[in-house]
Amino acid sequence: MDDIHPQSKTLTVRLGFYKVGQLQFISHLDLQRFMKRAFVRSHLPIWFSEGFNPHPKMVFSTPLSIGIQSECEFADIKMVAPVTPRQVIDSLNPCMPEELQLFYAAPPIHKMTEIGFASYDITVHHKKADAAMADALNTLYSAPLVVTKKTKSGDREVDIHPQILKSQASYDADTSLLHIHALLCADNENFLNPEYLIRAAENMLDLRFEDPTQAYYDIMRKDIFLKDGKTPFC
Amino acid sequence: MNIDRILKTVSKPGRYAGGELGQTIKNKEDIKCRWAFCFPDTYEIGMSNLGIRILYGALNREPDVWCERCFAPWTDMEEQMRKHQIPLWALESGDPIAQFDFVAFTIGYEMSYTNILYMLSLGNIPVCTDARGEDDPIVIGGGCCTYNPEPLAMFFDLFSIGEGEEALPELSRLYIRMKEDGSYTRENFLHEAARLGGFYVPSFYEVAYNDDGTIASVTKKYDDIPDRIEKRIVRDLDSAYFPDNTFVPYIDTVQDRIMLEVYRGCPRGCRFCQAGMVYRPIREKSPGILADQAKCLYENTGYEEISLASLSISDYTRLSELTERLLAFTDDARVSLALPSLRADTFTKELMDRISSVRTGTLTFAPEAGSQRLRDVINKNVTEEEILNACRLAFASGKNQVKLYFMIGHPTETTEDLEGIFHLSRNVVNAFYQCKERPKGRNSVQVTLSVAAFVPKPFTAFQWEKQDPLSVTEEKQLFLKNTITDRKIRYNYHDAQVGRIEGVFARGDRKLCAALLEAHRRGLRFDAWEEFFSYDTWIEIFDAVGVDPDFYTTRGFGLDEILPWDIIDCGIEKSFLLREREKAYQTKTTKNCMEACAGCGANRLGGEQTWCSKELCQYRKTN
Repeated sequence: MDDIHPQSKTLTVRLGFYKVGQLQFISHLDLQRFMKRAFVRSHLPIWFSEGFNPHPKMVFSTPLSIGIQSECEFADIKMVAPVTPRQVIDSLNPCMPEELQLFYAAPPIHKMTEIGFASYDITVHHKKADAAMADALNTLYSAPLVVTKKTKSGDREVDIHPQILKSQASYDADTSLLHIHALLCADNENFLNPEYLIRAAENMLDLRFEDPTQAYYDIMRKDIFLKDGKTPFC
Repeated sequence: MNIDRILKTVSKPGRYAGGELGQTIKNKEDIKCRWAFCFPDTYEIGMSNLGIRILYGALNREPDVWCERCFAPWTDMEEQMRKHQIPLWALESGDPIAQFDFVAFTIGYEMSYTNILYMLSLGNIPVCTDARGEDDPIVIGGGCCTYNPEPLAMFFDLFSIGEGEEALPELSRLYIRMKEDGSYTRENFLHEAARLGGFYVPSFYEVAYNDDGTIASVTKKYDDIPDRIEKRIVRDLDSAYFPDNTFVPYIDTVQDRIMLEVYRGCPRGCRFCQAGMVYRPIREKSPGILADQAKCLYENTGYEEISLASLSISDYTRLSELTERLLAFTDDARVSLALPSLRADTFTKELMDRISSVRTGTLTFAPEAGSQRLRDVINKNVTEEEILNACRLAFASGKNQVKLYFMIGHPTETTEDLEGIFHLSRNVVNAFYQCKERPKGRNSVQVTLSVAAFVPKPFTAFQWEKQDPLSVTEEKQLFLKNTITDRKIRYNYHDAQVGRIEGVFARGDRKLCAALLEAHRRGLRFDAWEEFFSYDTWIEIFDAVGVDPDFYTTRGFGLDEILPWDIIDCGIEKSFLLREREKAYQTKTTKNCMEACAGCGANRLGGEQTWCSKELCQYRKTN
């Protein structure tokens, strides 16, 4: 842990954690506030900003929508004294809920801006799920795919195909579930929310999710990669 | 069904997720009595309620009792629940509230009454007591609105009157004992509860009315239950239960900070204020105990702000000792102290320096009325000079925003009193520009007026008063709007229509149960929320059930009339309230409890023990 910034005399630690179960319903903004309090309880030497409203500075790697779970989240936090990764994990984990636990703490190797892609597992529970639907999804995701994106400046028609690096849909006859594995753009400019894969299927293949008792899907972020789409971010 | 699938379809799903730090999970097999503690509003508002936090902890201290939480689902969640037949559940276990032994409501605002019926029906619990069977939960209510529980009489099996942290565990013990020895039936239990003291079983009291709608008599069903229900108080707050660990919600709540209750009661005696009366007698906690509790709470939660909760914090006799002890650890820990409920007359430079809420740039005072005459009528006991001095102090220390709370519609109010609101505000603006000590760069000031319409409340000196008719309130609001021309003064006011409905229920009787039932039948809920409140619907409802809103508002109550809330004894003597009312009309003020005892009567609640003793008065005077 020798990553001391000469100007600020602080050192940055990258935390890797999962955020699953009920914690999928907590937004990053809320999480930030919650983790700040967990840091206080942990007695770790967290760096606080100066001023009337001192607060630790936390930088999250990539956005995560409410309702999406993740096995691979990263956040950077500044410390004012050297601590070992073991200390960070052992101090913080008891202060965190079971559904949000650290699996990693280390000085950052990559810059946040080097992030290129994120991989996802989407599990679809639907009575229309079958091998033919899996084929249809594979065809759908392999060609230009225009969806309506809601942005601050209104709705916009966007082709999301360039943001899908890889996708593979398959049907498991034993469980009657559809699985979609996808590697999607996750850099700042081209971030693709995995929900759009479902939105597209709803519109193009009439795979509707109106009644959550009958049809629903779970999304799990699996990993985060650099711009080559292969090297894991860490 | 897995609730997660539903949560993905609603707004702010964090409201329903539970699992926060500080929640209590127990093994159901060890539990003999389960409480679903309900708050008739959203999670964000309910989780900000200190009372729920105290009672939650007090009940969960009992090893065989498990208390869980439940909040009013927002309407998008309601739609999903009705569509998929999901009954209202408690957050900790996820079990439907209909399976609980007690379903409790904390009731703090009249406009949340419809949400009580809404939550009961979402929980598949019959809303009326007479429709509940032996296996249905006991529905119990408490909180400041239950000082007049009558408009809710039809829906509650019993009310806990006064402070609950000792009463509710006691009630649980009674319940467990009667279940175990086989003597439990709903009726037997309620009867025993009514004999415990501090519990009101409305179905045991029959109210008869005169032809003019006033109350003729109240007849009780059993001889051995009290004629009037005396409120419970905790005698010693130092030894009383106070949670040393508390919730840290994931999502942002209204009060997202440590709330440290410093003392109960208020020495001031403002004549419009219900809280100032019903929470008497004054009982303080020791600075040492408070500092220990604050430190413990901080270590268990990691919160960055501690709010000192009380009705008037600068009246706490040992405030400087307390802030000193708190600052000893808060400064290092980067924890800020917030002191809400500051009074202008006791606001000092020393106090100003200690509160780190400086960063907000805003300070709030409540003159409540615009002229000295009217402030004397309401016994506010604050002068314009004191308010201006307090503002000067604030300006000198760098603040440039002041918020002033006023009320319109006080008894005897005239046009001059209304103009006084503007004059006072303009003098505050001028005080800013005349303040030579104000830091450089602070060149403009903003005075925000928040003007509420007065609603007479039970157990105040103004409990008999006529409430202003809607048209008069609206005229006064318009008058103020036209009078306040200074752009440095921002004028906010509340919907006068809400005030009228609130007024009906505040002093309502049992005839209003029919109105609430009809409101529920029409699907009303979240009336405290602007987007759902419909005045016209309420007027239609009153029409439909034959209730005249004026009877409870503009009519005024006769001084010798039996009042709906006479069944409750909150410690304050009616004779005292009558004296205070008389003095109001004579524009005479009453000294606060620190200077002289006004004989309100609340002291008798403690038996031999007295709180407002001569020694304490002496201590207050010399310190």
